[in-house]
Amino acid sequence: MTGFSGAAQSWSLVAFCSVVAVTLLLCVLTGPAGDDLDDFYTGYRTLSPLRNGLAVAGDYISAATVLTVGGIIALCGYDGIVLALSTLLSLMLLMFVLAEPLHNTGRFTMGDVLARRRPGRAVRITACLVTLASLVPMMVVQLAGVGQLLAFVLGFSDSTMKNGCVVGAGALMISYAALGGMRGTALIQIIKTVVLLVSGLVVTVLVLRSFGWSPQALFHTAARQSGAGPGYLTWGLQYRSGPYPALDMASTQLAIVLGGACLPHVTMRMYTAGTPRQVRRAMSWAVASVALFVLLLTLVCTGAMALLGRAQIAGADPHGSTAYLLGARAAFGADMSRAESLLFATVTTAVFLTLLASVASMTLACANTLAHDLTASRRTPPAPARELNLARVCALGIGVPVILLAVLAQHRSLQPLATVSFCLGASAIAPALLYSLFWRRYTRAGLLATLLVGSLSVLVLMTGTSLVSGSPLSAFPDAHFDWFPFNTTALASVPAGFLAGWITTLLTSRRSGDRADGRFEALEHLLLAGPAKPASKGHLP
Amino acid sequence: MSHDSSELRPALPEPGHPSSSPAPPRRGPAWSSDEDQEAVPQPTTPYDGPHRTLRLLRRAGRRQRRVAAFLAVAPFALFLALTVEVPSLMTRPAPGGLPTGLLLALVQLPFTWLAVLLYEWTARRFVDPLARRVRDYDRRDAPAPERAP
Repeated sequence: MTGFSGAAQSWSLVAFCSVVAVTLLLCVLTGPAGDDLDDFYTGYRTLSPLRNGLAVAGDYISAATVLTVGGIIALCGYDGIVLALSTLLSLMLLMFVLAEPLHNTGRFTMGDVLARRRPGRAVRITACLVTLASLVPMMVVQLAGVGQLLAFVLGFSDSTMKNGCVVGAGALMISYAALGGMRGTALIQIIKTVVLLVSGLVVTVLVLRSFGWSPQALFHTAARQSGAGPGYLTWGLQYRSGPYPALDMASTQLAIVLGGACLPHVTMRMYTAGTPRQVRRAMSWAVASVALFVLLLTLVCTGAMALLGRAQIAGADPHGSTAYLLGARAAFGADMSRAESLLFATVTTAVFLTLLASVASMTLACANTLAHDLTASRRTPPAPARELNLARVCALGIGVPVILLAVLAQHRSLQPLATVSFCLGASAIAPALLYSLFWRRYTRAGLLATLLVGSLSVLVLMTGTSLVSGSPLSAFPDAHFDWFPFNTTALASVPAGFLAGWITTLLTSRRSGDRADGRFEALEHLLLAGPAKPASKGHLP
Repeated sequence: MSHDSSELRPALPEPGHPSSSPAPPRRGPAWSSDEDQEAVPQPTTPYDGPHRTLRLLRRAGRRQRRVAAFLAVAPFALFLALTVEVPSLMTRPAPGGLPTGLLLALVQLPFTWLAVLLYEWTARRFVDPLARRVRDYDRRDAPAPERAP
């Protein structure tokens, strides 16, 4: 039980219900009219940079960031802060290196970017499979989190209720994706980012006020309360169980820096801006908002540890994933006035919206790739109306299995699933995009080898990590098949993905490299300068 | 990753390239506005032209990407290396009372905002004008779009 006061619980319940009603209504109102593919997939590229940037930030700040990274910041201090920083660095690298080329060459999905360089059905199908493999685990994590969050805030522990919450949230995510399309989900992400940042700012001010506006006092009290003493303010708490803590840390940072921003639900937002310059502007807003959020998350979660102590935070959840909410509640104090209850309900609503919105965007990305990549390379592509209906059916088709998986998995540790997503992003998607966009001799065989070897190495190595088995906090605590000595697979799988692409290209380039070269030359104008006439369909009557 | 030494060669059109044939200067279709016509850049020197502009854009874009990525990754990598290799330095109290490592971590956040502003400014200053010129050349060379009656 949470010990949240009755007023806070009822306000939260009211807020959750109104958020669900309002967002669904907005989604239907802003959703695509008619059977226009451009409208459904990209919203005609008419979103303004500020709104697009907030939507990218919303996509990027997933529930995994708020809950998992927040928990690590609260329990391990310094290591969590470094994780949050690497999340930010990943988005910054996306902006500096990939955002504009992706916008210039992509149309609707990652498969479009890869297939523009190397057209073919095999490329499209592999891109679709990798997209699904990298997003489905993340969706399961978020959806399972909804059950836990609602149980925690509303104060029930019945597992049937939790399952009901997961199914309800799953139905919502499918509706958002199928009805709203890109514009609808963007709107939800914008609302979420604004609510999350504003409520986070209020809580941070309250936390700092209770420590006399002194960050030093905050961090030193947190270190004392954590039971780790000075160890809380230096690295190593998170990785001390493994045999090679430094390498383990490097591996985790590599996975997040390379993989975090390459996940398809983030890169798909690059196609919704109008011009390369607008992409840059949007990414500036996104990076700035995420940087602000990292600061707020750090202060609130450290504040949670300083105000409550390790026993309470680890007692509520062994991974500390409720630390952000506990910190907010502690900042408001035990006896909340009506206004404070309302403000606290805003914080819980922001987290609830975060879970719903990020899972809706991921559903949309999966549905898009299933509907578009699997049909675009056919000899006779389907009519737009048919493809649009297909995308909506695919949202349902991907949503139902994810809901079932989330119901089954919600009582286990979900950290390995989130890690699989990041590692797939870093080992398969990042090398494939980097090579495709910047290496002129990259061949189709090289592309397929990158995607397949990168993905398979992650999926195989992941089963041997200590996140899956062998430790009390792993997914299968009673089994022992943890032969891989790191928490993440990136240290081995990222080089595997890059090397596979490089070697296969060298081996096959004599025959097909010249063709690849010619195709790159034709593509280069577009890649560097963008389309000669930006699409202006949205301005037509 | 791509190699380009062609800047050293004279900027002559390559044989066999579509634009190397002496095509008559193409006028825009009758319905295009005057603005479109004015936007087409005219080569001012013998070395100015679509190929050279593309080459300049390629180099400017590559430099922009590499420098930005390096400046983003290098401080973080240095910070990680110091954290792991020189823990005594990172745990020493910095002015203000926080450990040096923690202070360095928090300082990276405002640094991010600065880096983003700087990136936008340099891209607008050095890359965008070249990209605009390449797009204008492309628009001139592209076949006239067909209009539905």
